[in-house]
Amino acid sequence: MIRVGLLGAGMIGQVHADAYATLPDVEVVSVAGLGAERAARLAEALGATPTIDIMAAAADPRVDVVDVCLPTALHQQATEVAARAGKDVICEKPLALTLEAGRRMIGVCRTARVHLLPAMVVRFFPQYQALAGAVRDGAIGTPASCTLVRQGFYPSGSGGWYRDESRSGGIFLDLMIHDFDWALARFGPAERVFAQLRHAGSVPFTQGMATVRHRSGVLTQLTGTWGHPGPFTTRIEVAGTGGLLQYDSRDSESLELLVLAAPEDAGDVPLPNLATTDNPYRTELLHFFEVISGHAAASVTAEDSLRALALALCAREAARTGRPMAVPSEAA
Amino acid sequence: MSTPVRFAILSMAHVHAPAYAAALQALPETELVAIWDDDSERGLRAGTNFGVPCYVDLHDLLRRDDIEAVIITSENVNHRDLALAAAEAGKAILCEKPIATVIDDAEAMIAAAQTYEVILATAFPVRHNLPALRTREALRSGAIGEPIAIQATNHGTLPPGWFTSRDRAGGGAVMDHTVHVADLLRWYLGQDPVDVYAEMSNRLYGLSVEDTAFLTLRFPSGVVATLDPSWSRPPSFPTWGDVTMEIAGTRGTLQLDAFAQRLVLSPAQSQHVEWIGWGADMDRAMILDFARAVRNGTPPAASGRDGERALAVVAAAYASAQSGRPEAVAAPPD
Repeated sequence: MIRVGLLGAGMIGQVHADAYATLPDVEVVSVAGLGAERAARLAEALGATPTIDIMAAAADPRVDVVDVCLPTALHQQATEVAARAGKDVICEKPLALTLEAGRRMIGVCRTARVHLLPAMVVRFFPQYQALAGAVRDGAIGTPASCTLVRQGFYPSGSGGWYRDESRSGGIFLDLMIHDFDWALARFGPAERVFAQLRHAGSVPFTQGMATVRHRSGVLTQLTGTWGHPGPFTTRIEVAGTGGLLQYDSRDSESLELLVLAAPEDAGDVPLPNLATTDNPYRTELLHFFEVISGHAAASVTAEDSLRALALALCAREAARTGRPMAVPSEAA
Repeated sequence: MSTPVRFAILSMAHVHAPAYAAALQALPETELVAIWDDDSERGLRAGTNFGVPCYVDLHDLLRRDDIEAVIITSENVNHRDLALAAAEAGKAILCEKPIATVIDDAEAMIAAAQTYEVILATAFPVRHNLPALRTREALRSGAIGEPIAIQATNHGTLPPGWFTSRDRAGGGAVMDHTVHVADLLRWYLGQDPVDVYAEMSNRLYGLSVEDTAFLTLRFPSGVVATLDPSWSRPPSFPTWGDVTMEIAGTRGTLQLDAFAQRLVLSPAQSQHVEWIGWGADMDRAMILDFARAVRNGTPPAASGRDGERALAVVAAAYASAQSGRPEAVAAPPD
């Protein structure tokens, strides 16, 4: 039995808690949250102890693994406290707000000889895995270009932290990191990135747009939207010498419920509709516990997460300057 | 409208030429009376198909006083010479897009049309696509508030023949597929983009021209539009390509798929699904608009200047691919 300390009782903490409830040989023994009420509610559902002392929970002697589902600005401190206490760490994306912080987290975990497993959950979504497999198997020959789109309503988070770039890193780091990671994993290191960021003055709306030239010659175009009025939408297409692969979440709803009543409150953070797929958060955590138990090698590493962060940071800077940014090779 | 406007088609080189010829014959307001082609075999074949004489000498055709208007559907680089000859002969001109391959040629065409007082229109049929037209009306009515950001595509399959020749087409996918969306964006937003950033590659087909590109256009209002004009639809794709646009605004989002009105055909004898469009015929609507302009002396939907403005976006995209920086879209002459 692996004992887990869950740090964070927000949207992703709840999603992970739902997955933990179905995982064999894993027990959540404590839930630490910034809000006492949400932490207590989540802890009760899991039969765990609630606390608001997050850093104490990170070093709780009862736990083997700490799952960091906190706002990004807290990732580094929580990871380092847990690692120094000898815990394996699962850390939500983005790994950190800066490369320096991310490198330190990796260094501290290496020194402490504990795992640092980045929750890049999109790698575990079945449609993205199917796409990656098809590309790898040569279904479209040599890839030439890729389009990645990710759009949902404007997230709030506890205290509205998503909207505060100093706490979330903004849309390039928080939302588009998934697609930066996916593109890097498929098409290799980036050479340069051009990006634009648009806000609406009057309403919560942010759209990030980035064009990446990979060193392999593949071109990737990425769009991320917070404030999209429709359902959570993801799209991918990859064009290659041997064909074209396309995925659009709007065309993939196997079951739709249409009701006459007004829609319920959608929650804090937009999430894809998972009703008719294997829960990718569960797939991800199951994989991480196999890694922690020594039964599998990690399919996504903290270094992968750091590379995605480096590209997201370059995109954010490119958007700020209006100029394409060369992506440093050590980051790539 | 009184008597039908009598048209000639100058060159059958372009893939759209047969559809235009069919539209001219179908509309009661227009008549196809002659074809000229520098490829006499191709011209004779078309002449036989459409039951009209085909000329090998351009000036023999242009001397015919009964011909009021021409549609130029030659290779892109020949637009200029054909337009100048037609203007001098007093013919109204509807020129296939892109209006030319370089701005100087477009300016020469615009100047000739002014000098000889003939209409010069650019063939931007998507302005006559009903979903695209309704999109403009929705924008104008404030349905989504102020536009903020736009994602656009004009994908295509690899076009045949001269379209992939730099000498005759003036470029690749960017030359072929940027102007439709560039024109729609100008028409929707009422302004030219400030600058363009472009990444291009020829990885799909390894030709001397680009087959793949991503463009980013910035407008004076702050609107940013991305555009994928790539020839990235493979031969098995159910249709020729697409025109799509997602326009996010302060009050909502418009999602345009200009050719979503389609049947899906799964033929028993083929591996490939086909899409059969059933939307309103935009080619006919464009030719009718142009014929009315000729008959009434009113401005056509898209002028020669509109063609030149869209070409200026293409020129900026190629400059950006060269320099690795966003490049300004040249201002029109005063």
